[in-house]
Amino acid sequence: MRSSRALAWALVLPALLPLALFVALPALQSLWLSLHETAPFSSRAVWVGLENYRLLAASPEYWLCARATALFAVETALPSILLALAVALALDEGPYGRDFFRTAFLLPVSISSAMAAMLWLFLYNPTAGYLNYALGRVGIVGPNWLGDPRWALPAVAIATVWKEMGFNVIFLLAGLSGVPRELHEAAALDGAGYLSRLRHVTLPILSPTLLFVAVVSTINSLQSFGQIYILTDGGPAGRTDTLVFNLYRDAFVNFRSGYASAQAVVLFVLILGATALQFRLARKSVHYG
Amino acid sequence: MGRLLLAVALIFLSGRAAAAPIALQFWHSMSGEKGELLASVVDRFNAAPENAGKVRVELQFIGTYEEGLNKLRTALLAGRGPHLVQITDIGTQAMADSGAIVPLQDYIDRDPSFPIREILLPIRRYYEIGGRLYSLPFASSGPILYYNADAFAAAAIKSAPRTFAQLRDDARRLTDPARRLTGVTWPLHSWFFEELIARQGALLADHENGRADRATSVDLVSPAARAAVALWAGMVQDGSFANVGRGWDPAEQNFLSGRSAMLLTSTSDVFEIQKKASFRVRTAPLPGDGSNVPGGTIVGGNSLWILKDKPADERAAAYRFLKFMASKESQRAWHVGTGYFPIRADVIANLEKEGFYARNPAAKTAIDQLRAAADVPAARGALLGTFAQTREYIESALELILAGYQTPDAAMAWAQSRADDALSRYNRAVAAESSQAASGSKGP
Repeated sequence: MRSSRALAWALVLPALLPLALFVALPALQSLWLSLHETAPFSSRAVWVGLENYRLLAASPEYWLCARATALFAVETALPSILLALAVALALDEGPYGRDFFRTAFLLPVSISSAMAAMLWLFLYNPTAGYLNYALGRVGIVGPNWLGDPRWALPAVAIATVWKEMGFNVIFLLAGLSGVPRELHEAAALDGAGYLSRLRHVTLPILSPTLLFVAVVSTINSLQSFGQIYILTDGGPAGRTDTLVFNLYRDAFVNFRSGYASAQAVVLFVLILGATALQFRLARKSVHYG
Repeated sequence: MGRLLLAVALIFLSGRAAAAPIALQFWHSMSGEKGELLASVVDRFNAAPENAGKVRVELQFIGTYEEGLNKLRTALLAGRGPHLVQITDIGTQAMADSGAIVPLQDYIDRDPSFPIREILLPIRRYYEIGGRLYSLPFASSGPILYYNADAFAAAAIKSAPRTFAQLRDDARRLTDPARRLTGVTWPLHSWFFEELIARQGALLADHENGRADRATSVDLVSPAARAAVALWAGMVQDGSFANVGRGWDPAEQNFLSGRSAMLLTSTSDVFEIQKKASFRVRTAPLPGDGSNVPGGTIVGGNSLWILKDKPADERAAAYRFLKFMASKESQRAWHVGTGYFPIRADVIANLEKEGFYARNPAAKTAIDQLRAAADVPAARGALLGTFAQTREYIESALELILAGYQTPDAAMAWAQSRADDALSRYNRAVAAESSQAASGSKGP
């Protein structure tokens, strides 16, 4: 008994050690730093208690960041799941081209987020961009996508959905291949049409996969950084200044380590909470066949 | 075993005795052609007979100014900083406060052969704190007006606008909504706001722009700041200004594609813009408010700093390299190759004699403008430990104003309160740090 426990530890240790060293320890350091204040170029930290958290709660700008983050999560996670579901269903039913389209939709996932953002920067360019050029050809004067406070967040969201959607398509396709043919056939014999088969057969069996992509998409959107850094730099007027981006600015531009660490802790709690909430909601509606 | 150790130690010691060349780490932010040019200047230093085999400067590209400052900070906290680093203009106060640098003046004081008198006064003034030069000004530039001479001729406009009022009038005349042409554009960057204020002879920060004593507050609703915003927002409202957002490229593309007839941007792009344009490009000084208050444009760019945490002989070698960078040959190569101005008056005088400016009148505009600047705090620019953060607030406010979301006064009052809050926090932290350091230090 004792030796098997020792063996278990021995087996887990190679994975646990780097995790503890490079993930848990820095996280604990963040927690410690969030209770301190430092001068920009100094390693000396002064204890300030919960002051950084109090400042965060009292900052209207931080609440705007929270709002931008929530909007961004909705504007990216929802479309990328719904579109991916539509694409996956079409590819699953469609007679041919499945492999080609699956690859095509996965391509954006495989390129780096910096490169994807540069592509969209060219597309959105108000003067020389293809997007407004194309809109102009059909008589529409396109907005200044990244410079207009109304359009910037949706514009970044579109770029993100394009980049991330393929990932969801792959998982949903895999989930769909697990739906037994017999169930469809039985339902069809009972007179169920396409929509009611989708509603009563496909989606319930697909629900664990849907939950998985929902959790991953939400977490991804909460952690988005590269595309915001390159496309808008948090602007215009803070409209794309998400919690992660604001954290980056305070830590690495404004050099306020304590204040930024407090934001990291808040973000950690938020992501933890969002994930727990999704699992709780899912318990009621997810069907693990 | 003992013998082996001895042998290793001997090899090590003999290597030291033969004076292995000092390797100077130089971190910089010049990419593309500017980076190649910098490398060729550094190569000349390394190849010079007095340096060969003794000192070697090793260039390390560290990304944008912002990324560079950040990497420097991380490296310094880990005790692994470089000997020399290139830092953006607005990082001057933060670097001086960092406790990680040696002011260049410490070396200049002991070296009568340093060409301090040749350095153009407005450039020198920018990098001085309390009358002491902290770093070597390197790539220096200023904002000028570029205009499309063909478009001006078509609109029968004879000369470039000199005042804000003329700029507005000309911009309106050059605007043609049917053909989607606008009169003027420039990047959404706080730099233009700051320059337009300085041009009117007004201050951005208290205590003489932070030059007499540490700044504690910025003034974003002064009459000059209001005039700058009114000019900018007014032109956006009447459709004569193309607001293409943040970043330097979109505004330049708008001008180069012929969509905007005028462009405000840095002189450092002067050769590139002339090369790329398919129309006649002319340049003119930054327009002013037409009053006679002494002011001028602020020098922008970057400077080179010597870091403290190295042996004295290596720091001395770093100083010798900076002196080489300030030499006529280096300054000339840099100016002619990039469009940044040289920091030396004699380099300009020589080029003038050779007819360089007669052939490149556009390159002359910025130099004339620089010489015309009054030696007053307004034109020296502000010293702020939190300049990057202040700019972020100013730019957010400008975006709210230009989009018509908020009135100029409300948005700028918000930016000012946020900027002042950050500044007072910074000042407190630095004061606490230096009093701690003073009580904890052991000798020099």
